[in-house]
This record gives sequence, C-alpha cells and structure tokens, in this order.
Amino acid sequence: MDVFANLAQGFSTALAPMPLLFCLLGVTLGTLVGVLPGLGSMAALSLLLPFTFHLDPTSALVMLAGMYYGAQYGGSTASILLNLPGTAAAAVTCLDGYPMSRAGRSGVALFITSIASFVGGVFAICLLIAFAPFLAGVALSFGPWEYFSIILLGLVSASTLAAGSPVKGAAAVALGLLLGCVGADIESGTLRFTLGFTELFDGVNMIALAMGLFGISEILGNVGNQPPRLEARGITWNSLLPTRKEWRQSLSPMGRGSVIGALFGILPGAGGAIATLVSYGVEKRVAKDPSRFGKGAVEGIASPEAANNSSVQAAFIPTLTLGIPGDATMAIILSALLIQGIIPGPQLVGEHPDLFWALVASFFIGNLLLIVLNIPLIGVWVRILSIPYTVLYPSILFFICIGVYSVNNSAFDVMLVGVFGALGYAMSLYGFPAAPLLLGFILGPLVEEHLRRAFLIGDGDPLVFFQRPISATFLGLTLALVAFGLLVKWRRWAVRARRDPVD
Amino acid sequence: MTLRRPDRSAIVGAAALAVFGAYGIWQGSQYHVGQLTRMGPGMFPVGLGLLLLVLALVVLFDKPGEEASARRSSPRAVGCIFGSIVAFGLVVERFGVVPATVVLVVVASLAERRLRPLTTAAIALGLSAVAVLLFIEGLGLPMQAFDW
Repeated sequence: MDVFANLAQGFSTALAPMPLLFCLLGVTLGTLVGVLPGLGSMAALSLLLPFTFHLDPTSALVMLAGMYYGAQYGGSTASILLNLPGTAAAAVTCLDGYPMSRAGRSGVALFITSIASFVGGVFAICLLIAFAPFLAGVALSFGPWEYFSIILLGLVSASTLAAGSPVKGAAAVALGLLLGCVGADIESGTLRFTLGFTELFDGVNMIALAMGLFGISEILGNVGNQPPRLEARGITWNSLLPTRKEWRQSLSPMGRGSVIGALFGILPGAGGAIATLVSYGVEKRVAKDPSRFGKGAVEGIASPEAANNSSVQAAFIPTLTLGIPGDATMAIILSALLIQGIIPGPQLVGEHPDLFWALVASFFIGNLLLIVLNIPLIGVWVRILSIPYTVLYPSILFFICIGVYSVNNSAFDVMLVGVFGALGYAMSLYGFPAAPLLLGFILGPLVEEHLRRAFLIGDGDPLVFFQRPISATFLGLTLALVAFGLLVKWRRWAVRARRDPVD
Repeated sequence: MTLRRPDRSAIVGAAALAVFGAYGIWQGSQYHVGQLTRMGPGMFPVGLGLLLLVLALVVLFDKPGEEASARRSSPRAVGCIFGSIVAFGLVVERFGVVPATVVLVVVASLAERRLRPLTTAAIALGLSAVAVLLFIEGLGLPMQAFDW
C-alpha cells in the first residue's frame, strides 16, 4: 500500500463521527486553554488525560493531540491582545504582536498568526508522512545502545536548550530521573524510595506530578495580579485582512519558520519555545531593516508562529516512531497511548496502521478546524479573555483536584499534587525550569532499563556505545551540545573578565 | 579566574540539590548496587545522587544567570492555594465530592484580599453542578457526590 491509500484510509477513520467530534473538542479546548493566560497546554493535557481512559484509543489520541496544537494557536491570541503569553512558546509573539495591537492592527496580527500556524503545521505533517514510516523501519534494528544514546541526547538538549540556566536545567533533569526511580524496580522488584507508602509502589502518579509542577505554580504566579488592559477595539472582518504588502512580507518568513520549527521538533528534548526564539533571531538577521522588529513587524510574528506549530507537529515523529517523547507534553500523550494498551515505538506504524494514519489525517482536519475557530470566531476568544481570574483560579484548582482524584480514587494523589506544587513553586522562585524535570521523570525508567540491558548484553563494555554507528552519532551530537554550552559559557566569562578585570 | 561568592539564592538551590543527591546515594546504597555487567537496583540512583552533588557545586559557584525567577506570591495566597488542595484531599474521602468542592472553593477564594461571598458561593455551586452532572452522571466516574 502506498502513502495515499494509507492516508485515504486514515481520513475515512478520522472523519467518522466520534473521532471528528473529539478532534473538534480537542482543538476547541486547546484554543481555550491557550487563550487563557495561566493555564498552559501542559497542565491542560494532564487535566484531560484521566477522562480519556474511557474513550477508544483513536478518539483519545486525536483529542489530546488536537488540544496540544490547538493551544499553540490560542496561545498567540493572548500574546497579541494582552502581551501575556498563553503558552511558553508564544512569548516571542508578544514582541511584535502586542505593538501591532497597540497600533490598531490586532486583527491583522491574529490573522497572520493563524495562517502561519497552519502553514507550519501542514509542512511538518507532510514531513511526518514522508519520514515516520521510514524512520520506524530503521528503528526496528535499534538495540539498547541506540535507545540509550537517543534518550541521553533528548535529556541533554532539554536541559541545555531550554530557556534559562543549562546547569539548573540539568539539575532538574537529574532530579526528575531520581523521582522516576520511585516504586518497584522493574528487574528485581526491589521497592525504591517509597518512604513506606503503599501508594508509591507503582511509582509516583505522573498526572499528580505534572499538575503540581505546572498547574499549581501557574496559579500562584497569577493570583492577585491585576490583568492588563485588553487591546481589542473593534475586530471586524475587514480589519482581519492584511494588506498586500503585509502578505508579501510574511510569506517567506513562514517558510523559514516552518523549516526551523521542524528541525527542532524532530530533535528530542528541544521544542516549541526554542524554535520560536531561533526563528525570530533568524528573521531579525535576514531583515533589511532590523530596527522594525519589536515595533510591530509582521515577519516577527509570522516566522515564530510557523516555527512553533511546525515543531509541535514534528515532535510527533520521534514520539510515534521511537516511542521517545520529545518534550514533557508529548510524554503525556505517550502515556495516554500506554494506558490504552498500545506500546509506542517502531512497531506502532506497522501494528496499528489505522491509528497512525487516522492521527495523521486528524492533524489535517484539526488544523483546518483551527483556522475556522480562530479567524471567524476570534471575537468569542477575545470575550473569554475578559473572564476575571477570581472566577478562573478556583475552577482550575477544582479541575486539577477532581482530575487527579479520578485516576485512582485516591486522596493520597491529591496530597501529592500539593507536595509537587510546593516543589514547582520553589523551583520557579529559584530559577529552576520544571519541564526538564518532568521529561527526566518520564524517561528515567526507560533510560535505566536500556542502560542496564546494554551493559548486560555488552558484558559491561562501554565502548559498544561508540562502536555502533547510530548510537555513536547520537552520543557525538550530545557531546557537541555540551561542548557548545561550555563554549558559550566560557566566552561570556571571557567577555566579562575583559570588561571588568578586577572581578 | 576568581570564583564568584555565592549569593543566597545559589546557596539555597545548591543546598536543596545536595540534600536530594545525598539522599539518593544514602538510600540507593541500601539496595543491591551490583556490577556494571549486572547492575542492581541501587546503581542508577547512586549515580544520579553523585551527579546531583556535582551539579550542586556548579550551581553554587556558577555566575548568576539571566534566568527569570518567578515573582514571590503573598504568603496568604500561597497558604490558601495549598490549603485548598489539602482540604479537598481530606474531605473528599470522608464526605464526598460535593462537600470537597465547596471547601476547596471557599479556602481558595480566601487567597484574595477582597472577599466576595456571593461570587464564591456562585462558583462553588456551579462547580458542584459540574462535578455531579458532567463527571459523575455524564462521564460515569466512580465517585460519590455525598458520602456520609
């Protein structure tokens, strides 16, 4: 069977009433949480996860995925109108989106971001179709060495490429790996770090961890803040349409953004936030007049938005073909698969072609639905932005508590949310990023298992990691990332030392 | 090259990492550590503990980064938000979802300086309705609305 027959099959599955309904539900909820500042896609996905247990695998996956990329569309709305990024990746959109808003061009900015997101998304979906089956074929020959090296690359890039200090990112990853050890050891059954709680024998509840780390600290960061003024006077149909000049200015940035985003999306551990930053930097560098940036340049929103959505869709490539989630959000989608009894990995495309192709088809459908949701219905989202936080945060807390409680009907898990909420809050106060911790937690058991197996089969010989070409390549990339990080650090230190030699 | 004198935030961060690392090593070494060819359940945690100790040292003497630290919320807000979660956990098993929801909303809304009893009551009522109609009736989640 060729790609088109597969895709046609996928469309017929995805267009059935149930998956279509859940796709619509997913992208709508995604846009909603993206629009609402103080509720990121991370927290929202973990909120929704317990409720997907009762769905069929296709609907569950289609809905969660829709929510993930839907949030990227919605995230830019809050950035443009309020200068408040709804998601981390949308922070770059504030730079030029908000100035456009203040100049009365918010309609155009919203229109361009939707189109750019669509272009980026579709570009990455095409890559996914082209490469995923091929990659899955290659991955079938992977041994524990390859898996270990890829996961290591993911962990290292998650800590070094994230915003903020790479050292603190690495510390967060290590802490996450340690948390991943909690519970019964897979090989010997030894109970580790359970502190005597029977509830911890199966390990820490991931949903409680994610909600605590992301949900609670987001609420704490927002409660008691005065919301900024809404810059959305009169968004009409006509005000949405860009001028011909703006079209011309934004077309090639969209293309560049799509490519940059896809590159970062495929790399495990990187993600939307870094892709948007890089693409913004590239646009500024290639622009004839860089001084326009930060004052409402269309290129400054077109490229990052395309990059953002492209990276989100491309992140499905490693997740679906290798079973290795590229970021913390993907890890949640992965765990939804596991709960449904589907083991993600190279066999997925071969053993569940219906699921894979239906998901791909749903990406097309979802992106189209998002265009409809975000352009004609933009007024609805703008109105939602004016819901006061007084009403919002008790509701978010309620959804967090009831969502966690419903997983095991366990009050212990609700208390865990409190514990990890405190950890997440403390981490945010001291500048430690939370997302690498969750990624470490998810990948911890995998990395330990592959490491142990690699040494068992290889008779304790660490050189095997470098003798196998694919494994060696990934380890080389990892080392290059670390070397690059050290180089940046050293140069910054050298510059500072030259500036004030007394120090 | 002179090392930076650690500031308070670096000391706190490094100390926390060191505590976690030391705990990982101490607890991990009580499990079977084993050989490289046949790693026991203790080896990975001990290795992570060592890594955390090293990272704690680096954090201590690292140049202060430009990473944004979150704004400190008022102690009252922090207390009320965590209080509301703990309260939900305590109440839900003994009395059911609806009382737990009401307690959660009331404690959480104390986080704000200006109290709005009517708004709070409306939110509590609305969310209780969501709990019963959507989660218990609609999705059929196995929990009790009232349980006493």
